[in-house]
Amino acid sequence: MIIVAFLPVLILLAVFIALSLLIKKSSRFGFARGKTGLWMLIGYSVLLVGSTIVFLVLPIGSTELRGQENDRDAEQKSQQFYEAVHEGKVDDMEEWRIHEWSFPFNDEQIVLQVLENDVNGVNIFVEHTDELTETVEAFYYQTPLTVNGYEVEEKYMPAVVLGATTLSIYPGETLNLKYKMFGTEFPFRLFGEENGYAWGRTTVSHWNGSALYIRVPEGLDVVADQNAYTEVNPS
Amino acid sequence: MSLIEVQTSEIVKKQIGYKWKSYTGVFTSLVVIQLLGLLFSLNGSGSMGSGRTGYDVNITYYTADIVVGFTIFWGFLTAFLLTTKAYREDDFAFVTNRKTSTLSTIAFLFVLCVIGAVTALLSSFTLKLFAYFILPGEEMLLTQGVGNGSAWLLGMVATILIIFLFSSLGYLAGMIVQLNKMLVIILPVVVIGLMILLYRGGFPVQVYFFEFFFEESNAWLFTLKTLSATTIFYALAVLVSNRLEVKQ
Repeated sequence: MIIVAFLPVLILLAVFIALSLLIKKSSRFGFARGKTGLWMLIGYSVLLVGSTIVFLVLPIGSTELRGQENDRDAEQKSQQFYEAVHEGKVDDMEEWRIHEWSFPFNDEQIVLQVLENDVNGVNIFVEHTDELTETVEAFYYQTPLTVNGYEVEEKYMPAVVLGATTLSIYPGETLNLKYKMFGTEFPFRLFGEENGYAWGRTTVSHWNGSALYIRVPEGLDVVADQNAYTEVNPS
Repeated sequence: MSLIEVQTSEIVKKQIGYKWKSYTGVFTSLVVIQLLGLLFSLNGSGSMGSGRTGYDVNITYYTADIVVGFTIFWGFLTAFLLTTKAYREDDFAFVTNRKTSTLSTIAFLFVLCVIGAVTALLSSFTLKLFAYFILPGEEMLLTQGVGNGSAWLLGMVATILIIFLFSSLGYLAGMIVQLNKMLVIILPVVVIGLMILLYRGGFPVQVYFFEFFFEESNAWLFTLKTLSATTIFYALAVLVSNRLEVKQ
């Protein structure tokens, strides 16, 4: 373990010694002599220029501008979404619906059980409506999650299960997303709006908004922990 | 006394040509250090993970920052080693004096810094290409462009200036060490010791140094700062070299 801790120092030391040997004129090391160095540089330059051409030909463009536009769009959508969900405008939220559940239920009281872990909490909204009889409906909505302007296609979803008199909401499986980001070198970031050393806005550019919207028949008594849900009264 | 008048610029030019042909070890070391930097960069220059409801997002960044850093170190070390006796004596194969010898070395170092900067920045494409085709496990590729051509040129100039600045530091350190071989140990001890002492006294000089140069967002001011500092370091090196005896 001690060796591992000192590994960076050892590597740097090895680099230092190797460089000194390569550059030092009195060195007997073969690479430092003749035209080997020049040919190595020529070969290396050809490799670099070749990779540059191939990279520029590949369909990987800069996404920054598109990203910023998408971010603004996503921010606006998120705001609209929260306004709609608080006002119970279900029709306005249609584009963000991920999943829906429908359960037959004819009791007078329903217990809402929310099993959350630390990270996967979900905002729950309950609406009493006379449009439903002996049925409980649940809808899961989610606005897009964007990473540097790209919309993430994978959608998270909680699990909703109805027992005898209990509607249980379980956290869904966390989605592990891994990305490669091709950034710019620090001299290019020196003169930007943000100063170079911070990675800035290269991470998740917009987190998603989400809500579980439950519709229950008028008169059905909902029993739950305090602050477990928000009651919605669409006007 | 010769009747042929020799121009300084001609001698400097000839000496640069000579150095280009005979100091090929610097190119080998440049290629080796950049390849090493590329190897280290394959693990990513950094990564960021964050999570919220239902998502755990991990982004690995690929940039040639490590290669650029290694090249800066190479610039320092190359300049340092070019001050050694073996290299300096080479110039006496030509009609020379200390002025032309120093001028040609500085000019040669500048050429090396340009090559180092260009190859370091181009290596980012090689790294990204490698990450694109070979590195497994990630789901998606994202790119952050440099911007327009002028931004790229500005970054290139900044890289050259940074490497040249550190090469001037290396040259100064090398000249100081040539005064007395014991200084090869004493100089780093004094410099690092002073930095630690000043840091403890609430004056982190190394932090101020980096802030002074690398937190300058105005390109003109950055150029002015780096060029001024480079000139001062090279001038100091010349002053030190004047204290060396002829052919020492």
